[in-house]
Amino acid sequence: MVNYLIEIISRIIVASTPLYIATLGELYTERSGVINLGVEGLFVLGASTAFTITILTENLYIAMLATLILGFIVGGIHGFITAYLKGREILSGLAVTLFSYGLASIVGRPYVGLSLPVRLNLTANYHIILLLIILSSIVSWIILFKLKAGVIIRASGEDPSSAFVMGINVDKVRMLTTMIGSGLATVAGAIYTLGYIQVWTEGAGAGWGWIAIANVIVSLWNPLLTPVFSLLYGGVNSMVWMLQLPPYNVSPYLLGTTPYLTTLITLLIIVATPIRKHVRPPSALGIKFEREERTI
Amino acid sequence: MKIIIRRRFVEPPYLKFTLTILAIIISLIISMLIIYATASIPPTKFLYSIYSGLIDPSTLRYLIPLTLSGLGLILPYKAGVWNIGSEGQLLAGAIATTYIALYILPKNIVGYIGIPIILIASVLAGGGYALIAGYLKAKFNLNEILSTLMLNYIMIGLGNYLVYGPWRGETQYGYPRTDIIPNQLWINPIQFGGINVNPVFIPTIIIVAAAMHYLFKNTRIGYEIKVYGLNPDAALHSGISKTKIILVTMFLSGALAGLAGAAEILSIHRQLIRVQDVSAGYGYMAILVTWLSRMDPLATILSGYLVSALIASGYTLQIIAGLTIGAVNLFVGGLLILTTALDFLLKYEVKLKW
Repeated sequence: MVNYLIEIISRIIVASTPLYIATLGELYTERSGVINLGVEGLFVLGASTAFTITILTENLYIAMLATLILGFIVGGIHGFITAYLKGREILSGLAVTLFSYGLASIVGRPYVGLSLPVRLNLTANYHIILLLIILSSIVSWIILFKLKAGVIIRASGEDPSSAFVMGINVDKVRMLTTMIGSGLATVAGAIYTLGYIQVWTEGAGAGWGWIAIANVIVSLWNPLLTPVFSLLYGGVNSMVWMLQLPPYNVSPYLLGTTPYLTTLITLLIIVATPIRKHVRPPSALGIKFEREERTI
Repeated sequence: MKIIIRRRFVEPPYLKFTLTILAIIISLIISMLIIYATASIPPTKFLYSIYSGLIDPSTLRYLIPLTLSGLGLILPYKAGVWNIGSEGQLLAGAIATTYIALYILPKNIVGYIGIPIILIASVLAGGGYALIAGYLKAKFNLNEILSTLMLNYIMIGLGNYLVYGPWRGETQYGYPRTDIIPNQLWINPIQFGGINVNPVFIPTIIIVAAAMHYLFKNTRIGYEIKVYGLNPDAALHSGISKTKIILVTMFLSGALAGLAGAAEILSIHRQLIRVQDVSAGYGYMAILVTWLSRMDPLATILSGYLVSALIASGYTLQIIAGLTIGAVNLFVGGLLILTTALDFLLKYEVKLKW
């Protein structure tokens, strides 16, 4: 019984880890005022590149590092368009997602169906991972709310004009947080294939990025709440497959919709109940900062 | 050397058009280099596939779903409402079409009664599905980007559940697809100047594009949509109803996407198949169609043709170079990235000074 419980708990934690990492990255990005819909594509791209590089080099660390750098580069495109070129960030984010979908499919295609030569054993170390999740969320809270770096990030997301007057390079801050968020999204994708599903097929990891973006809203832009909801989604997503077996025999295609249904319902609970008083997105989220328009 | 960036007050003529052409050329070069580097497909093969996509008459086959959904998206996007759910709304239309054709209409119904009923049902299904997200936004201010995305995945799951489960056809040898809809409900192409043309949906596209052009030029609701998109606060103060704008634009865009779903079933598949084979991401590609035309209804037909040619060339590459069709997203995404990036030159003047 105890073993069974431990197995379930470890499975939930492993399923939640990629989502948690992607959410944390997007949280930093949104705190600086940028919405990055590219997270979805970058997650899928990370999943495919990490798989391919692990097969080629048989080294998990090289794979993770290469994936991180790729995330910085591809996510940097979105950062550059939003921060410096003042482009439409919804479109730019979707564009990065579609572009990454395409790239992921080309990169992974020759190795589809192969098995990994080395594996990231997360299940055995679930307690360490849980500890890391909780620690990183506390550290993120300290960074964002207690350190100068966090003040700079939040100022760029709340009131970029005042931040600029105080000598903060808002464009640079937004570029950097977008790159950090994108890098974390690709690494999350890497952990998803290397540690969780351990195979790659076309479209592996699709949909998780959207849930991560929704998860930022659900955790009210607060890193301390992020682990809670990541574990909830991870739990729902890993447990729901049991209903596929007898005596329940629910169709796997219907079960596949549960993460999205859960996300939609959670979002609805957040905005349609008194919790909505606590929903306070960064004031300048999704709003361009253009110096020409500042009021003196 | 100094770079001077200044805000433009007057937009030079033809700049939009020039930038669009520039975006197309640059993104094609980048895609060519990327697939040469990662999949070692030589540039000549790539260019040949693009060329054959542009002149191949079968490109018109993708034009129908893309342009219909793309035309629909103009409405919410002009109002600043981000409907990303065309994919789910298209599938809702396709599922409704199959349901009406197989399970509701009598088997011997005549085409000119049955087809209009089906088309109305698909419009209501697509529009109704979009209204869920529209209602949640109007009532609770729930982010429509996320709700439409979630609804896409829910409809994908539902569609696959139906074809693998209760709707799996008795005459299909266990394949995941429904029975074929009655013969008289098919919409067959007609020969027009040596090209196969869809006799229902190609005229529909032209009529919808013209109607939408008229809507934005001459009607009150079109004007209200534009004002709301440009400045929501000013619009609310001048008595424009936010709820009305959101619900109308969401319903109409969903309705056109639903019609695209009906088009796919009635004129191509004739049965519901796995949803990823009904729509290979047309709902997402339609976003590119809309933005490439800069939300001009008449230009949407042209941009629809271009994106269809990209899909057709993707299929050519699949055959001659063994790429999967997912690679089309590389061209589509690259083109959308370039379009958004080059918008900078539309808003700002960049001058070099020595």
